[in-house]
Amino acid sequence: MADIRQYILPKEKLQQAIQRLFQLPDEVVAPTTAPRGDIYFQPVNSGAEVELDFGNSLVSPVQCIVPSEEVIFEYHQREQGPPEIVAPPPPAPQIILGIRPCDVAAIQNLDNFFIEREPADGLYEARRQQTTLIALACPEPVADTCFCTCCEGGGLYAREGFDVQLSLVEGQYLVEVATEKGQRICQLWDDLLSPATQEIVEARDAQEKKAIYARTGPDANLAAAIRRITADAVNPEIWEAVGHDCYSCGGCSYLCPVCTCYDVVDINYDEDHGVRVRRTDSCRLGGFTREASGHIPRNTAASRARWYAYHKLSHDYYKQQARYGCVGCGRCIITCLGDIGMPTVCKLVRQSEAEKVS
Amino acid sequence: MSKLVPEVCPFCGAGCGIYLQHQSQDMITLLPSRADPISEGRLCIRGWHLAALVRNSQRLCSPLINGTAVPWAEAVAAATDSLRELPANRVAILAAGHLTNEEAFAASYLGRQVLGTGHLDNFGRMVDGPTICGLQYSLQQPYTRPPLNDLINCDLIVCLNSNLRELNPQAGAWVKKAQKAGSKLIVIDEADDGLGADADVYIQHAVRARASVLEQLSRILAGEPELSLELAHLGPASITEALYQAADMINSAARVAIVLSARACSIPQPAMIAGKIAQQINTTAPGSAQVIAIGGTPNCIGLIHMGLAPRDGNDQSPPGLAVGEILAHDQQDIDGLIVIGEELSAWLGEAGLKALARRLQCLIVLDSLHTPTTEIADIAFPMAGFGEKEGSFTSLDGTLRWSGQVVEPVAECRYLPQIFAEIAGELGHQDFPVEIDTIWEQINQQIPGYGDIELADLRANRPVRLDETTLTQRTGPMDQDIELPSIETTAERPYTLRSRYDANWWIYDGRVPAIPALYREVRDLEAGYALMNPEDMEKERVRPGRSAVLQTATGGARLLIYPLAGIPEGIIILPAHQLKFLQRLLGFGEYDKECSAIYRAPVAAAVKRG
Repeated sequence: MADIRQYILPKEKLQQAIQRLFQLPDEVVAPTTAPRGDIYFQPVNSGAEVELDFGNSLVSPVQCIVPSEEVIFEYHQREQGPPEIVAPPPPAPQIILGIRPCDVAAIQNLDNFFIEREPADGLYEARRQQTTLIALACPEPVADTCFCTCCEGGGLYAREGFDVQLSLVEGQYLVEVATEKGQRICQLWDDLLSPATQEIVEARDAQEKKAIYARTGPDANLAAAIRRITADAVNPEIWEAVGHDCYSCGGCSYLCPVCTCYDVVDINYDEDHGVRVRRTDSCRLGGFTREASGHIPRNTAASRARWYAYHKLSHDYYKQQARYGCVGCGRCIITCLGDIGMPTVCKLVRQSEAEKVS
Repeated sequence: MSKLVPEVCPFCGAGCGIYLQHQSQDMITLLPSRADPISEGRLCIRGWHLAALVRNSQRLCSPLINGTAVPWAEAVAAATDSLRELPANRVAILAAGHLTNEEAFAASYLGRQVLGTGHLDNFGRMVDGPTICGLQYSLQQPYTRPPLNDLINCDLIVCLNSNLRELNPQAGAWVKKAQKAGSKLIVIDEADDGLGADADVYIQHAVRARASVLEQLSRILAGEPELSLELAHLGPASITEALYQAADMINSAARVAIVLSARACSIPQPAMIAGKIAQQINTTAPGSAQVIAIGGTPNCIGLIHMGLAPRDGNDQSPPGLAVGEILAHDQQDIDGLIVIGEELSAWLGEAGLKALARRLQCLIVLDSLHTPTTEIADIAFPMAGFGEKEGSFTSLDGTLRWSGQVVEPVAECRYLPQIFAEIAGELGHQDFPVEIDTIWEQINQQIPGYGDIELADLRANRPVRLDETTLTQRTGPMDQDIELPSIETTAERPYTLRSRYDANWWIYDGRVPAIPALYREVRDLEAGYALMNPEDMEKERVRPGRSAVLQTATGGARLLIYPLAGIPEGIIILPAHQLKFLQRLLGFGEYDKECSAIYRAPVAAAVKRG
């Protein structure tokens, strides 16, 4: 917190500030309106395309760093010798404008998973280094599915992980600059910014507290669920019930900004040419744990639901990642065919009888 | 990176809206759509993996002759040479249910205008036909499904498929949403595959007794005398009591939806009686009941509208065989077959597919994927797959929805009308419609109900509805007395038992657009009845109760021959479990438990009370 510099940007100058981003060589990725009216983070060419008055996008902008499908390398069979391996072009610099605090928190999880652990993932690291995050804090929970305030370190604005953060407070934006990459943006906006006052910072905190007390969204109370799961004191019937409602579609993990599971497949376009591809995978699918023998250790939706919850919420995961695996974005609630998003599971876990499962 | 391209999932009839996006290096990304009123951001496992369908190692990338890759010109020349040698009426075209309207129009154009054959059909009818047909019969008009999200407004849902969550997951999700919003749920099915456990009342009946149970429910609702059926054929003795409870719930509900998955119904009776029940409810409280049938294919209605279904020969186009007839193992009238986008071994089995290839002089397959059918084809053409073409689907709810093109066809794949145009060009037809705009000009002019549809509206994703009035006129009268059709006979073998099942069933009289073919059922038929005109029986010296064997694709079915007055000529084949209802509904006679049997042992029945 000590390194964060704070400024004020008048609301009416936001559009001007956004337009200046296009002076940089970076590709600007921002929330835009798709043909059916959905909001997605897409590359934009002007400030007019940016839609900052939105809840949250169904697909996390995290996909700009970890695409659901990306080429690891391309191969061409040669007449003699080993095939020619062509690496993908290096990622271009990008600015993700308008990313919500929950997704900023998710990127910190991903940084832990892909970069902090040895060996670091080259594809992720290269793209992450080229990415500047301009977060947009939520003045209040922006959707009826949000439950970030129930999550560890969660809140309506990000405390860390961003390069620049914009918080709308009392009709003006509190601009926070946390990194060198953020400073580069700040220089663009130099004449638009004025130093922040202590009052506006306190007003932002008060606004957050007020919104949290007034919130009516799903009550996940992750801490209680984490305690019970860490103690392995969950009635197994809970997982049977969750498994009964689970369609095993994988939607929750495909949209979860924290999930990192992937599969590697080769796509042969013809006999001599193809690509090796990394694709998002899901532990909620039956074939995820299929072994070479054909045996599937987690062959029921119930066992996979249990694994999913334990992986995200048990303290063992925390020890590895230094964070829990849920940031409260609420996408699992929206996309679940069986209406068993994370808050529902947590509620069932909390309500289950304390029964030690061997 | 391309713009987001709105698409409609082609895997079933729910019609979930999605987006595809072309990333760098030919990668395709799928994005669910929360603004789509049907899917609201939810997708089933098939939908989530749709992007992998566009680019994968199974794509058919070049034309094949007998499994060997050849240049396009060589394949086109081989196809046209083969087609030239065959008389027009000995060539058939079969298409998958996921073709777009534009592709279907081109296929129909090729068949009717270029090749001059009437043997055109699609597999969407195999999947959805019986249900649509049954509903159209009882509703006396073309069936239009209410939107799936209407379920949320119903306070009672009667679901006829406990495995709805597997068959049509999006419909299962809407049922769940409706329950959460306060709807009651009644599930009627022979086994619980998931939804029964969530139901307020789950009525588990004997195997294949669904139509009987629904008819019983219909009678209870109408206050008519109950069926004198053996309760063992429905379930436990308490099942009638449970049906009374269900009837009470229906009578006290303000809005009722009867939900069924077309994929699970290979016979029309469940849909027919479901339609009847809805009408009974609506008679007393208009507009309070609806049947929501979810199709198994995205475009079964559109394909029929575009002409990919056999006609009866009354509209100046040659009459044609239905899909079941074309694929019948002893079909002698077809020498050339063009298969578009369908994997035939799923219907015929591996042996059946090989037998088909042996029987045909020429098998031409057009597909976007390598399949056992393309492997066995004489000539195979790689066609543009999902995301590589644009086009429209006609939904069962009467709307047209547009799927855009996100990426160019991979390798040597080409847009289907373009392939047909090359073949047609070699056959002397140079004006084959290839461009979407040209195709739509012709659709506007030629296809009833599609005259006022603007291509620009479709491309802009504006809501487009069919002109139902025109379609009603097109389907012909529905209120005439049903006449049993006659069967073609030959002097040598007047009563050869063939799997012309669809042509002989009383409801398949050719006047409804979705003439279903029950090949799926007949090929697995184990036992049943052959019904003959008594005079013919006497002439043929066939005694009542005499046994016969029906040759099916998978073997032989044991039949018992009984007289049935009212058949002008020929034989009607019925599976064992259907006889009692067909008899009663036709008014041919009262139910006689001695002549009916369930040929599979019923499961232990149970009724769960809410």
